[in-house]
Parts: sequence; structure tokens; C-alpha cells
Amino acid sequence: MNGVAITGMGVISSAGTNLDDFWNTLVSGTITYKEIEEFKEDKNYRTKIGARIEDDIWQLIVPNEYKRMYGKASQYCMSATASAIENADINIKELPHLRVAVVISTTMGEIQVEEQLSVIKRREGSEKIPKELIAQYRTDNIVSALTNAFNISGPMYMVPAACAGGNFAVGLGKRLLEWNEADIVIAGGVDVFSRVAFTGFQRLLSLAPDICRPFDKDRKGLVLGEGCGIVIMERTSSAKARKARILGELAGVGLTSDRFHMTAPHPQGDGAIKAMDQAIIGAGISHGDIDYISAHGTGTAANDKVEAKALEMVFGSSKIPPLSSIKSMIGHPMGAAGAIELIASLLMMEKNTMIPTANYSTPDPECNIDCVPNISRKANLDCILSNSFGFGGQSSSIIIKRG
Amino acid sequence: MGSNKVYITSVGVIEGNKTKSGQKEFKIEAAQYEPMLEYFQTRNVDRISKISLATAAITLMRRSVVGPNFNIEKGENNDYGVVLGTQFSALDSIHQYDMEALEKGALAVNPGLFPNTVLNSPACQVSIQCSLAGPVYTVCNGITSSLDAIGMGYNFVRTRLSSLVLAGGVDEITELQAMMKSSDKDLGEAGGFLLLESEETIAENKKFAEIVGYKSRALSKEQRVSLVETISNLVIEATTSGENNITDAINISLCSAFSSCESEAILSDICKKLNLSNAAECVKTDWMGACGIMQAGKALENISKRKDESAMWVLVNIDREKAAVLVLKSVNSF
Repeated sequence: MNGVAITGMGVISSAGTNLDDFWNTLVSGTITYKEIEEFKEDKNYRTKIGARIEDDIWQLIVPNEYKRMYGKASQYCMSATASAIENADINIKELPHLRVAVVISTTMGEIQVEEQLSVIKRREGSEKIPKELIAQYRTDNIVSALTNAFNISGPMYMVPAACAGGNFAVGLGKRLLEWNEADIVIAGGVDVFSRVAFTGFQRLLSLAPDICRPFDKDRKGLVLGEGCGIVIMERTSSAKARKARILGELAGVGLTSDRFHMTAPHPQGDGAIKAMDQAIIGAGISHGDIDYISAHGTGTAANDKVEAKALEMVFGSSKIPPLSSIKSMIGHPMGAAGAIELIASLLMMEKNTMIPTANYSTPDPECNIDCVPNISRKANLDCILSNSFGFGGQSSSIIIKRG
Repeated sequence: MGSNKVYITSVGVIEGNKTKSGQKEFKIEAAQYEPMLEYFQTRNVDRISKISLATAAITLMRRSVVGPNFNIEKGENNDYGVVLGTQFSALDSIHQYDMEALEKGALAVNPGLFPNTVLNSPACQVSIQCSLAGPVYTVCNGITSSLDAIGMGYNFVRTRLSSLVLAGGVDEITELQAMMKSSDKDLGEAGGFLLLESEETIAENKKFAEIVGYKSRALSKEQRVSLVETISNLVIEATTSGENNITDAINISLCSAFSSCESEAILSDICKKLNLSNAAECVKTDWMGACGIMQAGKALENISKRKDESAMWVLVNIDREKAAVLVLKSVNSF
């Protein structure tokens, strides 16, 4: 079967809004979160740490008319997509003449619209909510914004899948190429920093009060983040025919349901194990071929323990490849996490360097893994597995190979 | 691998009913879905997920009636998927959660309600509570949401990524949906699923209908200008895939984001362009993202009544920036 190549990528993250900044921040183990200004004096927020994107340079690509029409999630996507298309060396003017599909995932969509309209409703009543604002709330605006901005006419799917979203979008993108529904796929995930999510995670006691310490014995929770990751996918044969630079091949995809609980992972890692197994079988490789794992690694007690247990079940306790969690530095960008971690993985493969897990100091006997603590590590990386798990038991693993 | 045919083996739909004349919004009554919830854990589960669970239960139970025992054991290994289309999904739960946090303070909100605030929650409630272990997709594609969900489920079963998929849609009416409504049509709540299966999982003579084609596309600026031609081409593409062709008797049902008048005109022009003389119908209620499952439900009702083996039902959804076409066909053995 014809392979699926990734030929372009664009990122908007607290670690950087271009690939160079993003890489340099992560490889140096730099933390990008801090106290959130609006929560500083608010006694309703006992935890105040979050990862917001403060660099506004990404907005320069977004035309003003689109800024008026669409919410921030759509704008993040437009900006990251423009960067990804440029990175893939595809002429934007050619897109209307090609069979281009768009698949984007999210957790809460245009949640900042919700937060604005709720404030207006509470202060002045529903009738005062501007029509222009309510029009921005539709979740499918995010894909519509892309099809309008780039005048695309292929399949388009908005597929919310919580914190596993990026992988679910990329997974569907691979299928659209295999089903011959498109020749190019724009796929990725997006979530903007959200008061609703911050409130919810605080009430679930899932937020770290200071820093995110994935797999550390003293881990205290996740740090909420935001961002957008977009990749350009094509059939490997087409990519080679146009002499495109192949960043990696999407070799395997595993998508399963934990079918256990809306917020807690299955205690034995049922969905995670099956997702990893499926991805490995789909990629036609053996366990020993995997050089590195981009872990879901949220930094919560339950998630990291279950992920480590699932890895042990899949690889055997002494054979788990080195892994790390970039969430230790950028927090958890929710629906964008999978796509941003895929981009980090492609960069690691290009540079043959593992990004570290920051803030790691005390090994946890229940997480018996090598998490590349604190300092990046050189290694030959030809094959990477990336995990993303989400609310609702959405479990996903993808495998990329050197193209 | 056997054939790549995809059969519909069960259907379960709940729709809001008009109870008073002049009523502009048809809501689903609690009595329509609550009896089915005895099989599920419903504490802190929001209304849209409850409707989704109830329609999943109806669909799965009907399958048990028409086929061999179909009891999915909790924890049993399976590759069964869920694809749920919804224009708005749990937006009301997100809104209520946010309003409560604003009114009472962020520390006062019920953490048990937070899981309702992710847009994938209705589909995941179904996968968790029905113990379906395969892929779970939520499709938020505006009016085409549930038609696209069924189309995606079709492709999953056709290519054997799953041997069985519960595919359908749901949407509810709250203040937000009413504010976002853009057409002149009455607004209706609906939810439902089709059970899609490959040949291998079903007993003989239990096939209800077959899905024979599906196409979905964004509409470029130029295509929006020549809308009738674009949609007609999409219908041809969807109906002529596989063993079928446009000469089979075609019944066409259209649901669009345009006004009733514009929708009628578009449908009439499509029929003229394709030389279709059979039944053509415009959906008169705005079922939001559940439009496709409502059209599929009605088509299956017709299929079961008429037993017309040669007819195809072409379901068309047009939103302002995209369109989808799904083609159903009756099967001999029903």
C-alpha cells in the first residue's frame, strides 16, 4: 500500500510560534508557563499557573476580515495552516485546483466566544449578545475558516476528540488519503486557553500548583495550556513525484475507546494498550523498531501511572524505549496536544535528538521508565510512537518513521 | 476478506413532535428517552448524552430482535466504533457550566458536570456505556454532521477498520441554538443511530438496507456560485460508485441551510439537471446536525414499507460552505 508522508508543519505554541523557536525552547528544557494575570487576585482560583501564548506575531498572517468573522481557535488554525503549507513548499494559489481535505480536532472549539457571551448575558441579558459574536460560536467555523481562507473544495471534517484530538484528526487524514478522497490533507488540532477548562480541572483537583512533573514521584498535576499544530499529509508517491521534503511517514494509527470512565483512565490501560498494539501492527514493525516514545505524560498521578503500566504491558518492563513529555514545558494544550507532539516528534527525528522531560527529580517506582530527564539526548531516531489520551476514554497512538 | 458491502441492520430515532399549532420549536419530551435509560448510569450525564444513550439502546436492542443475540458484554474485546454527528453537541452544558462559575464562583461548580463540557462527550458516553472498544468520532460539520457521521461509519466498515459502527446524530434546542438559527424553518430536536455492519457480523436475511455511496466536500467560492451543478455532480459521484448507476430509480431528499423557498428551487433544479422524475422531497424542519439521521430514518421507513428492491434513496445535505450525499439501497433479503 502507498505510504502517507508528512511534508509540512506549522505550530503555534507557548514554546514558540515558528518551528525554530519551538524547537529551541523544548530542546533546552525551558518552561513556558507562569502565573495567569487574570487569576492572580481572584480567590476563586487557588491554582494560578497556566501556559498562554503571549507572542502575537502569529496574527500577522490572518487577514483582518477573518479576524472579524472568526474566533481565536479558527484564527490559530488559519495561521498555523499558512505556515504548514509554506513549510511543505506548496503554492497556496494552487490549492483550489487540488483535491485538498481538512480535518481538525478540538476539545471545546471556540470556547472564548462562550466566555465572552456569558459575561455579556450575566451583566446585560441575552438580548445584548451581539449577533456577530454568536455567529463565531459554531464549532465547524474552524474548518470553514480554513476552506474559505484557502478556497479548498475537498472533504472537511471537524472531529472533536478531547485531548486525543490531534491524533484522531491525523488518523482520519491518513484514511482520507487511503480511501482516495483527497491528494493533500491539512490535519491538526487546536484549543485556546479557556477559563471553563481551567475551572473544571481545578475542581477535579488536576491542576499543578507550580510546575508540571510528568512521571515524577512528586507530580502534582497538569498545567493547562493552549495552541495549534497543523501538518500537511500526502501520499508518499505524490510527495516524491513533486520532490517534496518528506519529514516523516505516518506509518501506523491506533484509535480505541477505553470505555471505562469519562475522566479517569482504565486502571489497566485497556484502551491505551490496544491503541499502541494497533499502531504497531498497522505500521508493520516490531516493538524493537521503536526508538523513542512521545508520551501523553500529563503529570497527573493517575494518567502517568496508567500510561507507564500500559507501556510495560506492550513492550515488557525492561524494553520500554526512552520517552519524554513536552507537557512538562508547554503544559497541556488539550485538543492541540497530539498534533503539537507530532510536530515535536518530527523535529526530533530530523535532528536525532530527544527532547527532555523537564522538572524530573524523584523516580516513581510505579513509573518504571526512562523519561530523558531534564537534558536532551542524542540518538538515532528512525521510528517514533506518540500517545494521546483524552476525556471520554478516547485513546490513540500514532507511529512515524523516517521517510 | 469477504465483500466490502456495508449493511444497515437496525435504526433507532427519536424526534421532537409538534404538539401545538403554530409551534416553531419541536422538543423531545423526557418520556421519549427516559424509559431507555434504565440500562445506563445517568448521574451527572447531560440531556444530549441521555438522548444519545437512549437512541443507541433502541438501535442495539432492535438488532437483538431481528438478529441473533447481540449483547455486548462489558469489557468484551471488540472493534465496534461510534461516529456521532452533531452541529452543536454539548454547547449548552458548556454554557451552563460557565454561567454557574460566573454566578457562584469557580470553586462552587460541580466537578461531576465538567465531563459534559467536552464536545465529544455524547459519543463517548455511548462508547463507554455500551462498551464499544473501537474508534469514537464526533463530527461537528454543521447541517451535514450526521450524514457525514454515517458516511464515515460506512467507510470504516467498508474498509474493515471496524466490523460494526453505531453511526448517527443528535442535536438539542436551547437558547444558544435558537440564537444561532439562520433559516426560516421550524427548529426540531432529534437524535438517532443506524447500526452499520459488514457481511461477516450479520446472519443471513437480517439486512435492512445497504449503503452504496457517500461523498462529502467543502464548497469553493466558485462552486457556491454554480451550486446546482456542483451538487448534481456530487450526486452522480456518490450514486455511480461501486455497482450502481444513476439509471436506477432514485428518490431524493434534500436538507439545506438555505430558506425553504431556496431549498425547493435547488432541489427542483437538481432533479431537472439529472432527469429525475421519482419522488423528491425537501426537509421542512431544521433538525440542525441531526438532519441526516432523520432523512435516513424516513428513507428506511419507506424501504421497509415498499420493499422496492431497485430503488435508491439519495440523501443530500447542503450547508453554506459544504455538502454531503449518502446513497441507500434496499436489499433483497429484507
